Amino acid sequence: MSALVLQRVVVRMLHDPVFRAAVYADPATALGGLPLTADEHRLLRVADARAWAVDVQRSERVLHALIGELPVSVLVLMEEGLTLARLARFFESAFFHDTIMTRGSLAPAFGDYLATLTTRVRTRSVVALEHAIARLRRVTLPAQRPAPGHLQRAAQVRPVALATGTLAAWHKAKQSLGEEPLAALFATSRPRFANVNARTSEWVLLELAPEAPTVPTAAFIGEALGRLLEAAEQPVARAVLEAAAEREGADPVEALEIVADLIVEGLLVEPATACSEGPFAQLRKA
Amino acid sequence: MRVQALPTLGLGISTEYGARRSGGLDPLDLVAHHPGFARFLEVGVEADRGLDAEALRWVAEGRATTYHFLDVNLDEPEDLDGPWLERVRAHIAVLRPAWLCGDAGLWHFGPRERGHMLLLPPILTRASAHALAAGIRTLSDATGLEVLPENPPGQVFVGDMHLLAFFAEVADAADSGLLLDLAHLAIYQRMKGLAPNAGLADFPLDRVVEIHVAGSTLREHEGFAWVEDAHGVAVLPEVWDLLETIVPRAPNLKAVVFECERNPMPETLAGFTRLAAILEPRFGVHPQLPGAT
Repeated sequence: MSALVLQRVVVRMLHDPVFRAAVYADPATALGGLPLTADEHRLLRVADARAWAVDVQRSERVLHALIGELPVSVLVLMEEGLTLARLARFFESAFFHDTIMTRGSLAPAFGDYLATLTTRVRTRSVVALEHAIARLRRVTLPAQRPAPGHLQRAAQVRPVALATGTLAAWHKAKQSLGEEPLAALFATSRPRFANVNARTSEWVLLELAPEAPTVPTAAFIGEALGRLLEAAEQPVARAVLEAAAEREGADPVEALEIVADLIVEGLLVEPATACSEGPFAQLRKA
Repeated sequence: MRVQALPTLGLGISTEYGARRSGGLDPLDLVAHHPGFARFLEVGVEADRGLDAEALRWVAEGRATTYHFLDVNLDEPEDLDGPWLERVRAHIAVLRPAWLCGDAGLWHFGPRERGHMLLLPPILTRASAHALAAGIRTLSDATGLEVLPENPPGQVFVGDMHLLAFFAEVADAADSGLLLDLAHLAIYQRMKGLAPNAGLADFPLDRVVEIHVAGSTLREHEGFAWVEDAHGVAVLPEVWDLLETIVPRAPNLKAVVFECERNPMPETLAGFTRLAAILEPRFGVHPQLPGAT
């Protein structure tokens, strides 16, 4: 176990010079909370500290891959004055470190980090969209089998609430950034992101099809449906969802029908089959 | 003994997806002009990317291969997942390799994803050696092929075992053969300030089935001297010395690869010629003079 922990700490030290310096200066504090012994702390500090930094482009390569997955978010943040140096501070963030320690995916963690860099509705809306796409592309089997009578949103769909106009503006910006978004982002003249209406919202349902497991489709849905599907992210009692449908304006009979229809359409499923062993079980590999 | 069932491949070359397109060695061109230098092709494979045209052309001619994985953390059981193994088996069905081999280190952090790929050496502890051994056995059982762990390159080695002692422990626990990369070993010994042959006396050379030789580049970072595993043609002097020492003492050695896949053929010939001369007593390889056909 501690070899795996050590290896993950090594990855963190290679990408974050601030953390590396902290480990060399005061390992007990920097590595506090990890199941490592004092001798293992020593092992991490045996090498010449400069040896950790010989690959000067290591973090840059990772950052470029992450930007490639959330390019429009970076575009909009750059319009707000965000610099590459600020983006690179992702490697100093808890989002990066926690993801490495839990063997997670960096792209959603990068989306979480980007969301902290702005308070503007327009920007947060774009980040929310690309973050949702990044998470959708990595759907996994449910971790637990809930009790009978419960329902869960199908793993291959994800509702997201955006500022009105975000989806259209995102499509346009994504197209403008083209196949080489990095080059376009750092070109002298980069695309502009269109204005959106920050006062109203639109609900979008992202959905992955087995034949295109990395490119979700996006369709507008009503707010009521969006909220209902959002409520079913974790397994939830069918009666609770029916009650939620009633709160959205359905009468009791309609609420029963709405939930039943969502099951028929495959948007809500019995949790045990929320993500089959079919193509979606492999989406994270794509 | 299982190792006796493995074929003797002799001197070979390596390739990775797209190496030829970036101006590197054309395996079939080399074999056409210098067949003694390219008796087999070691194909570097990321299971998700598959095999490139050069590898497929080589296989189509019925030539020998080995499968060098570039994407599995053998010490993480969850990395040997069903879909990945399925893809590996599909590539094996095409390549029909003599065995699997590859750096026994960290090929990616987290799941296999764009941006997650790298190559780090393993943590050099006994627990880590036994975790790697378990992965080697799993992969071997899943593919029906021998799996030869290779000592990876690196600039930072964490752990209290010598690299050679670590891989001796891995091979013993996995009951496997070994791929000894002499360029990686030389880099390690330099980083540790050790003699090139330090630790070799106790190393089980009878487990060495394959050897890698490659050129390196001397670099400096903030006054810190280090050696890059560049896969160039400038082989470190101690690598040649190690090769000459080890070849006669490794009774089960079956294959030697000159890893120079991203260099134009004319620049590789001097290295191949010297390798072939060293290996001739062992494999009966007859060196070909540059330009010979």
